[in-house]
Amino acid sequence: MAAEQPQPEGAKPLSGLLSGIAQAAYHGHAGITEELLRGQLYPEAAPHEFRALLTKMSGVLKSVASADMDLNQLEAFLTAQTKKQGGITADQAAVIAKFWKNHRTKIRESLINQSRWDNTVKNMNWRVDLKSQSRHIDQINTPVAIVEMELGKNGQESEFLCLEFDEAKVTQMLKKLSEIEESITALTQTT
Amino acid sequence: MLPPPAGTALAAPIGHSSRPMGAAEPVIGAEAVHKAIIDIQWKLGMAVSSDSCRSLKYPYVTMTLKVAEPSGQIKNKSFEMTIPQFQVCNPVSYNCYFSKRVAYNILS
Repeated sequence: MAAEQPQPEGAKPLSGLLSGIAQAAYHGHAGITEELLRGQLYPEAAPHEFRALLTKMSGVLKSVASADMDLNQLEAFLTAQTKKQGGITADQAAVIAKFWKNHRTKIRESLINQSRWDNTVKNMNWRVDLKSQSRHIDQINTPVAIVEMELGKNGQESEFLCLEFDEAKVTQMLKKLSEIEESITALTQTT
Repeated sequence: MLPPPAGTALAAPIGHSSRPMGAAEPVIGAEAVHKAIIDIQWKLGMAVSSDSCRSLKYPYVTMTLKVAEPSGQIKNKSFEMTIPQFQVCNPVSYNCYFSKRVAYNILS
């Protein structure tokens, strides 16, 4: 195939179906029922026929997403699916391939977010204060960095962490951050 | 409930404001309601696989801060950042540091 051919008959509903599957599985969209999808996309299809199609397409998309397939892997996988008994048609393979190319990044992002269960940094604000009152006379008029971090977990209320850094601690933090940077660079160079 | 705006320099000691769980209790007459940092540790990890995705492969940074509550109790607070998130926090910290240098210069 030299140029991309126009999508065959039936491409639009299948594309819509894949979108619906992705919305429910990866983007947390509740309320996308089998009934809704059938009514919107395949109103002529019998319920058991539609269910078979839905199951098959969900399985294929989940395999592709789970392996985060690149184009080569995708082509090999879809070709194998077209050769299987009860597999997919070449037209369906083309629709799936196009869908994955367009949605891979977003789906991958969702999968990453779904696997983060600990606190993440939602927001971070800072300011520099001068201590104008202190029990310790030598601390008056020393600048202090005030950092407020919003930490949160998926689906839970945020926790606000309010921290104070004196100069030594700011320096220590910067040193740690540059150690992290070095580690990240070393990692990305070896992979 | 939003935290105070960023970048306001040379403010007076922080007053009381009501916050969601995890906020420091204000103590009348104390010098600060913010928690002091005692120690900072970090770890660079790689997520390989999960039940919903066999091929995750993303690096992430975990940090744990040892903080002193106003009561004197020591607590560990840890959190995770993706590499892009870390790269946002990094310059923020540098800006904070340079502001402090400016503050010192204003004083002298």
